[in-house]
Amino acid sequence: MTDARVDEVKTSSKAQKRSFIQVLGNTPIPWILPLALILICIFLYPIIEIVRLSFTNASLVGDDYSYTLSSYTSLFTSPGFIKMLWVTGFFVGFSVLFQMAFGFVIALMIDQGTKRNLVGTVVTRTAVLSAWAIPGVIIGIIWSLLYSETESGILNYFLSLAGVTNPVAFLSDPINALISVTVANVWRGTAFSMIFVYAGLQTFPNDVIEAAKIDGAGAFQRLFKVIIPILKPIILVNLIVITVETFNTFDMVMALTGGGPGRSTEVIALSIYNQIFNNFHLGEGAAAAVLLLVINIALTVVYFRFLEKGSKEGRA
Amino acid sequence: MRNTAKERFINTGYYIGYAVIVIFFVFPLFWAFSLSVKNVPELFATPPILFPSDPKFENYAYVLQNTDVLTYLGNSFLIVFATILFVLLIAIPAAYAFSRMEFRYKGLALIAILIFQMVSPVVVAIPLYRFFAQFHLLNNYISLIAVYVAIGLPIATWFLRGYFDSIPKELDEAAIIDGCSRLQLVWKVLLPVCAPGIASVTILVGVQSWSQFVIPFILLDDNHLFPVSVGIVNLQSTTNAITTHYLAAASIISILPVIIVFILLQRYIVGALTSGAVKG
Amino acid sequence: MKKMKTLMFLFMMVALVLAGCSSGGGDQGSDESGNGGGGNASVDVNIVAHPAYSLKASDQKVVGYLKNSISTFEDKNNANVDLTAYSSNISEAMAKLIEQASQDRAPDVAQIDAHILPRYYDYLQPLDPYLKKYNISLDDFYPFAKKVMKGPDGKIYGVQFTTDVRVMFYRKDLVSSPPKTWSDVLELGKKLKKQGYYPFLYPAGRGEGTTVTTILPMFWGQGGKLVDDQGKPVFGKGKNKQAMLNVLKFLDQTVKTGITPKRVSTYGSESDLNAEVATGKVAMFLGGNWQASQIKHILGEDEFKKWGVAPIPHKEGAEIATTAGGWAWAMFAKDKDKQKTAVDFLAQTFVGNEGMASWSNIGGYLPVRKPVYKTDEYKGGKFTDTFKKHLSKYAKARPSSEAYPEISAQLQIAVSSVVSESKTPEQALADAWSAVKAK
Repeated sequence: MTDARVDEVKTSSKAQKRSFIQVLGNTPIPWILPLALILICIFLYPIIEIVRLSFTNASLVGDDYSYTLSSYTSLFTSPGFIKMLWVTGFFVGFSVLFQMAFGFVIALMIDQGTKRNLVGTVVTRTAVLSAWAIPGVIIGIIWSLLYSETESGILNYFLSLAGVTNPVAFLSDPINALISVTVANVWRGTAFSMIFVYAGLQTFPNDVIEAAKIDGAGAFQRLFKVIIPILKPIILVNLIVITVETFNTFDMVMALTGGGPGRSTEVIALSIYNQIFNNFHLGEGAAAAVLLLVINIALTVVYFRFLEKGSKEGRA
Repeated sequence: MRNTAKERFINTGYYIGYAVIVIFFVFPLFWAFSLSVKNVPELFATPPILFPSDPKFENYAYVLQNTDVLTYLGNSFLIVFATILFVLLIAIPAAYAFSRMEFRYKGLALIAILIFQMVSPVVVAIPLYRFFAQFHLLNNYISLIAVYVAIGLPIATWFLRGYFDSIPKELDEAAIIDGCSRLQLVWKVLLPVCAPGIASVTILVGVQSWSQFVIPFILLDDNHLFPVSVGIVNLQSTTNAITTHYLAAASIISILPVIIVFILLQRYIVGALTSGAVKG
Repeated sequence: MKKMKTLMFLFMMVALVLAGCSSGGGDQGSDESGNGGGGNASVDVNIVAHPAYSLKASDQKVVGYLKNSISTFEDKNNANVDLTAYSSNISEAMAKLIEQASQDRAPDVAQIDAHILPRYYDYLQPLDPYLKKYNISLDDFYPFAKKVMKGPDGKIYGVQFTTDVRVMFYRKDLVSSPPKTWSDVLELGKKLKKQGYYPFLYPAGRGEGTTVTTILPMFWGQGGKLVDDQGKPVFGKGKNKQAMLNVLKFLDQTVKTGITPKRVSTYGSESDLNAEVATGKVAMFLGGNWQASQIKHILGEDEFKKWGVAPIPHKEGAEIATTAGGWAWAMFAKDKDKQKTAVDFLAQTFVGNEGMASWSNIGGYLPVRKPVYKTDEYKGGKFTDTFKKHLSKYAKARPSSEAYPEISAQLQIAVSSVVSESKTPEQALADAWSAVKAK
């Protein structure tokens, strides 16, 4: 790009002689066209297709199918359906709750520690972040090694040192298995919440806390009256993002329990996968996928409502 | 002065807290490492052995020679690199347009992108699987990476748009008066200012793509093309021998590069993520 | 120049998107590359196998044997053998193969789970003329293999080349005479439990091991049937329902009496039990023949001497039964040269006397052709005779019905629910039945 060329453009633009390309360049079309194309091909088309498939009795194998509502009726009336919703609800609810809580506490501790010039904040931060960078299936494998229920299982060994006489059935008891899977997921997801809150704390007007201190507010008062209200927008965004993320996840569960024992850890995303790729029931799997999609969209709407409200408040 | 004792007490509390957190997050990885350097009797020893007296690093040699872990790692790097590149190439112009231009249906388009961000990959993977199968695009990196890119785009676009929004428009105007075209404006003026935002997007999309499982699991079935996430599942399901120590070694090998990157770059990663998260 | 840049930029992005979205065709175009006419042209055969049976196997002995066999074969014959693997999700790989076959894009030869071979008959080519050359006849094979290999027209539509069988492993120093019936198991189990052992283990998680090793032998022994002659599920009806309920009730009892730890509900594969065996506290367990060599490897020669094998215990008054699995090669290629070359290679590597013996030695499989046991090459283990007896007298293959994968999945869920005590046997069976019938 020579200077002469730039000068030429300068003069020509002054003269308002705009070529077609330049006009086009000033419309949003070329700027967002690639984005639009790829999202239409890889999101919009599959979404329409999955809705269509959910109204068929198609199988993954073979091309014959007819349109029917039976996928939905058999999904909603199948004996495991309500239980699957409970399992998913438990998994998502407690994962999100503890990820948020731990993320918040850890972020606060690291932030305060940094301000107090403590050593160890960096190590702590890195330890938490590392868990976030590990693919879910590997997390599942690593935790399945930890949860081993034989006598060479490490967690049960620690518990026996702590005086627990009967080995805990981490993965073979239905309730325990669900808790175990949730714990592993909290381990995985806490880093994300921590980053969010930590980022929020970095923007914190430090004098606010100092002012509160001078006003004689105790640590808990400062937390609930000052810190949490200011971080509220960030916490809410974080809440929705990780809720959706947890609804959509199944790689870790698959590697850890495969959905068992029975179907006691079969979350909705895993059930969709099983239906389609192990049992080949494309129609029914698609119906469950549509259900997940509806959950996804509902949460997005909530999120957007909140964003709009937030930006209006911001302007006011 | 009376505060020093109290401060010391509080600091001790912090240190204990840090220790608990570090143990909770590091112990699982340590245990996987410990298993990976044991031989078969040690694996099943009761009580379990935390530190094997004679670590069997040859397990790693075995895994490197006899499995495709290195291929999987190479594949993962290739896929993640290409994904980040194309996500940035597509998201930056789009984010610029969403930030600086007014047009019809802009709000609607933004909501649509947000919805796509929330859609589970498994939902899109199923129809794509059928579609790709029909056109012989399974086991094809171009189609695979296109899907990865699509999954990374919504968050990248929203994030960068927020970042562009935080940059004063006066900067644009000054550049335009200087005779910059819009492309030059974005490339020469805005991008340098947005570097932290771009770094955050790179990290977010990188981590997301690195962990991506459903998409390659469904769209690939050629062992040579697997990224680590799928490759490891493949190793796990091999049941024709005792494999716990090898499985552990393979897991360690496949998480090591990223952990090292995170440790070396953690200061920048945290910096980029926090500055990005706040503006985005 | 600036315009050019802009244009190029946009063009590249659009091209990228289009490439990702719609470009069909591409490199996979021509699978009919072998021009069958040429007499001395080299023949290309592509064979798609289970990952553990291919050059991708994690076992180096397997890879070494296959590499060696391929190169010997290619040196002797003017041929190119391309041995690749399908995905590790076997049920999906099997389903994909049918889909490919129906669209005429199947590989020349594929390895198929033997019991579902009948579902592929329509797309397969008979092998009789080629097998004659190697003196291989249907009668060489064990009955369950013969049944699936023989098509409705009496021709051979696939050749099974490995098998495996389920038995009860037991510690001879703890169990003087292995229990024959369920009540024997419960009675002996209670004694062993008092001595601090894990008396009786079996796979009861969500995995195929649970169906073939735990459910089917005990179910078949009572004359139970999973599907009728048309392949429709019937395990939840009449006598079959009672038989299945008996199995679940027995398993429930093993857990309730504590002779089986609940954690078996996390083991979906037979080999998952190896870790338990390694602790030295297991007295009896249900498993597959290949575990004999694994246990020997884990425990060492001396400890391994303590182990014996016996038939899987059955209900009082029922019969001994067990499940045999295994893999078969099937021919999709229509080109005669390809067919001949492929069978020559398969015979040398897997199917002929020498090939099957060597392959069985390496992989720890059981030969599925009776004459192979008599060859010098075949090195059996100390249990070979018991396994042979099981194969010829007690073993059955799973039904080939399309409904089978779903039935198996639901029964695994049922067993794992009962063993983890989250459902009663009645409820678990009712749920499994209604889930299968809903389809």
